[in-house]
Amino acid sequence: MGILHWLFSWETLAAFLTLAIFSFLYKENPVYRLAEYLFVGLSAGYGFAMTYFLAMKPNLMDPFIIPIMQRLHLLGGELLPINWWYIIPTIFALLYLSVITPKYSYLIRLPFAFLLGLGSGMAIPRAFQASILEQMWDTILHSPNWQGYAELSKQYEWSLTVVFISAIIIFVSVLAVLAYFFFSKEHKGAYGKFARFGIIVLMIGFGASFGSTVMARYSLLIGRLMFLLKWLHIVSY
Amino acid sequence: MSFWEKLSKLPRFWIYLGLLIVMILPIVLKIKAHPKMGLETRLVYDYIDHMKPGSVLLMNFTYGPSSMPELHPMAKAVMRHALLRGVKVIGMSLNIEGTGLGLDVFNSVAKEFQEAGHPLQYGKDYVYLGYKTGYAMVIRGIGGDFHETFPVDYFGHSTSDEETMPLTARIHNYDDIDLVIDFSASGSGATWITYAYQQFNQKIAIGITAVMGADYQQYIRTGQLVGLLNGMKAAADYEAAVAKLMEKELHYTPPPYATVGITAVTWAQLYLILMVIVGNLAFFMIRKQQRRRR
Repeated sequence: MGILHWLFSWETLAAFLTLAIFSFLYKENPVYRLAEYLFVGLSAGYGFAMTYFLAMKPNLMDPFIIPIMQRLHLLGGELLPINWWYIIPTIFALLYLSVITPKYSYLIRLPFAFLLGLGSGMAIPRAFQASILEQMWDTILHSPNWQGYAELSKQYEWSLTVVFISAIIIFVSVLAVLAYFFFSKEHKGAYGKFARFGIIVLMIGFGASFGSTVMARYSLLIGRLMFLLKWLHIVSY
Repeated sequence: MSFWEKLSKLPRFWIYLGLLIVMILPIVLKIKAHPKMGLETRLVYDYIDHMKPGSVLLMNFTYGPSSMPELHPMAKAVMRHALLRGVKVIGMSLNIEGTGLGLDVFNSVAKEFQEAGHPLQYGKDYVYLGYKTGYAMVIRGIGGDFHETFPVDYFGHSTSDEETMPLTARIHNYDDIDLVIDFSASGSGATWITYAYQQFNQKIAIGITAVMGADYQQYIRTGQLVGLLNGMKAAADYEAAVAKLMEKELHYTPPPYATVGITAVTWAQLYLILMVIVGNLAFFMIRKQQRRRR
């Protein structure tokens, strides 16, 4: 009974699908395809159901569509109030569907324009501040007596000298990388050597990213291995 | 065929098998790592450790099952730590996949505290808000009016009900939230920095997969982040430190996950380095032999 229960459990199904995906390491096969298609189908179905219940229902159906359907006697139950403001986003949402009719497909530009305008207006000044200005300010060398270095020294538990050397390395490295991407001047002589240093800095950065990526991929494999070992009752966590 | 030539033509199967053995051994033998906590991790740990009892931590879950091995133990460890320090915890999600995973973190940590003899009260000690569509608009919306952005929690309770939900009833905007920590396998960390930090000066920490680690270092140095939890290493560091705290204060040992996983990662990394060295050595030795033959 115990073995049967284990054999026909959700864990066994999950373990079978995991092994089916891993079977691709050997070669392409029908079991792998089955698991792949099942994953795509389930993901789409789960995504649609969750989007409906967590986004569409509370934000569109409950405050606007269902009350209207109730008044048209298409739905029963206690009458819900109609929030007429929701007509604007509803029309905008419906305009997305205009793309299926070639004659009216141009109407999709309206919601796109609204979203792009709103998104850009909100994001550009703040993203510029967060990702460019703040980084530029941090790259510029400033006096070691300034509060920024003292705070950094305290935070990293490094001496002020180490913090200052680190700041110089960052400053020179950023200039070298910028020099590498400056193509209006030929990369020759001292300038060429400086640009060459820039590409070395870039390679160090890519190497660090690659090392982290390998570690992350191992972590994912370990997650599956731990699940399989738990399924086999070899480990308990 | 010489030894080096045979080695260079070793089928991939044996290399994968070696990797599998190297990874399984520390898990089966339950070899726990005792890592030294990294700097970025310590910044987050110290910040939460010094939060006053009653202060509020907002945890956001924006990752899917594919990132669970790295981010799930990390999120659990942070929540355990906050609750141990009397910090109130609110959970939310900005993507659909993260909604269920965030709920799992909240349920399992609440269960652990129950088992440890320190039951938590939903609505007072922790609240799970669930998913809200809108991404950046949600982040911005919390800064304007929290109750308008999240009128109800995941279970449909009103967030402004002072009797059943005293924790969320007192929150109006970011002024009432002491720290936001975003667990993400996407770029949501940058969105929190852009909107919550830049616009509302909200303190932010992030927990990310190791793939994204290098991209977020810059935000710590510029002071835009309180700290950074980077991949399974950070998860292991944090989990080990909080497990010690729980053993000391609650006489309860939470199940290890990242502390075992990181040993397997370390062994696998060493195996990879060894393979790279052997592969290169074989290449040079074969070239040398070919030159001699000529």
